[in-house]
Amino acid sequence: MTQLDACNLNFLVEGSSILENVSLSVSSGEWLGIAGLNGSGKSTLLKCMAGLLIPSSGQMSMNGQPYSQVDHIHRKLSIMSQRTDVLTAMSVLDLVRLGRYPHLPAWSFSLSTIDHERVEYALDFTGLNDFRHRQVNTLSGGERQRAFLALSLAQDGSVLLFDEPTNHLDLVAQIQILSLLRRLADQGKVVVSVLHDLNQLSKYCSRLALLRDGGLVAEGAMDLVFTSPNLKLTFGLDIDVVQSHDRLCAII
Amino acid sequence: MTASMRSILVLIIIGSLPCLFLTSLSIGDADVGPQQVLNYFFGEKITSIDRLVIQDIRMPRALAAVLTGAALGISGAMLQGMLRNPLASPFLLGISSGAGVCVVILFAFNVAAFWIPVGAWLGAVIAAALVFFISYQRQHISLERLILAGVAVSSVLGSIQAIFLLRSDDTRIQNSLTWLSGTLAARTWDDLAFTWVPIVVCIVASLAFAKQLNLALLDDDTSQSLGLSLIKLRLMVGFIATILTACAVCISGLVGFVGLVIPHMVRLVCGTNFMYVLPMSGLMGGVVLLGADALARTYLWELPVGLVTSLIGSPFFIYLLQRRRLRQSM
Repeated sequence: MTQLDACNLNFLVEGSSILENVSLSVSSGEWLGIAGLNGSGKSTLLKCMAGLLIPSSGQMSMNGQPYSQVDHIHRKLSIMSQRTDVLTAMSVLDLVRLGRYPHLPAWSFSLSTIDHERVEYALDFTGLNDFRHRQVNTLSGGERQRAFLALSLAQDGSVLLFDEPTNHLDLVAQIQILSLLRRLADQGKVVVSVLHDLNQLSKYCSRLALLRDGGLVAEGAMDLVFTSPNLKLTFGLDIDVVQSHDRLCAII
Repeated sequence: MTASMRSILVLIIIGSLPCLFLTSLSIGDADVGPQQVLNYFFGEKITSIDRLVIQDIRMPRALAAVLTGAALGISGAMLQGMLRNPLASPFLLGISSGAGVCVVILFAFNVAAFWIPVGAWLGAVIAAALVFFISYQRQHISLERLILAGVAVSSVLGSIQAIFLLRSDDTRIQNSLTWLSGTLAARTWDDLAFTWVPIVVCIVASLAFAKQLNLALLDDDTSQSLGLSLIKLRLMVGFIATILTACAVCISGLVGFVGLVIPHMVRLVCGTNFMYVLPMSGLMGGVVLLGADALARTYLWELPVGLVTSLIGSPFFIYLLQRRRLRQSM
């Protein structure tokens, strides 16, 4: 069981506030979606949650321990950023193997049997077995996202963070990626993602955090937060929320 | 390229180093050929003059080629990985212009020849340190700032170098230009005494950064989430690459293109993993420079070796670009 807590996060850049008193929590098996307008602090929040940015005040903790005191935090947290490019002609297999690096001893350069098994599992889970020897730069957008997802999976962390994982993907590739993330949450991972599509958020995520100007408009279980007044406060638009079958839908 | 073909190519490269080394010892103006070289190595009878030619004239030159090529090859591979830029070379960070300006000033003031490599080494290190100092901001070194600072520092130092060259007499200009073109002529054991230890230490140290350099092929966020410290990597790789390049410059002047082209050649054979790219770049650098030097003094009227590497390296680089374009259009 893993629990991630953000406690009163503030993030300042040259005097201007990017995040203001953001507090939230997310546990194993949950998928927290983060939404808001451009510049509302979504990516900054995600990077603070990934430990890539140190908040100006407040702190991130995992199972009650501040990040600075968590042993081998790079084995437990992984982030998939918006950029999924690599410098050279790297194969999918070599890319996914990089996910095992945090598990290698300092002076070891070769993967163990467990590392290889984990890499195979990640390729299998993402359906990339047949692409293992293809160069990453020759993959389509959706395949490339899946290759980077496999890298995160090979890392074998309990917390997976994704910054707009469906960016620039066609509808089918979007659904493929989101379905894989849902399976990961169902397997007990903590999943956190920035997403723009409100209906995808309501369909796949179990919790929602809405941000506006660096502050939290609302955070909590999807059915409590995904309401017309909260969406109006977040986006400044009249958005109707209706129940369709077993889920909430946004109508703009 | 299949795995077996790669293995064969790697074996050919490894095998060509001792072959070229022996060839390099066997050619030159003096009438000392392969038979005398083999006699020297197998402890058979050899005249004292032949021994002098092999041991004190040709061997330091051949070792200088190996050390310079290895240093530039590894330095180029590390910098291309660290800067995420396939066009990066050891001379991108102002190292060449720093060394060049110091050498031209020393020639202009007619300083003793002993101080020329020392001045080159200091100039290279100071210029690189200046580039890193300019790029460092808020506990972070951005790649863009690093490259732009390198271009700016090179430009200023290049202008100063041109001013001193313009005000020098013909002999000094010729001395300066020979050195700036990169030459291995008349290298002695003394030229290697000051540099071989730092080169060997830095080559060994570079291997410790293979894993980090592999991670640096990814974007900053992903690589950091995998445990990479970008600031440590950039400072350490910058330091090692600077020392390697400064030592290479100290031995042989400015040998162009080796640091740029060798890592590309190696990646064609070995793939992208720095565990293989780094040692193979060192090996290949040594092989190419030994070959270029042998070519330079056998057929090309003792041209500076730097001109030969550029003459061979530029067409090869164009071939690589064409090949990549063809692949992308397929």
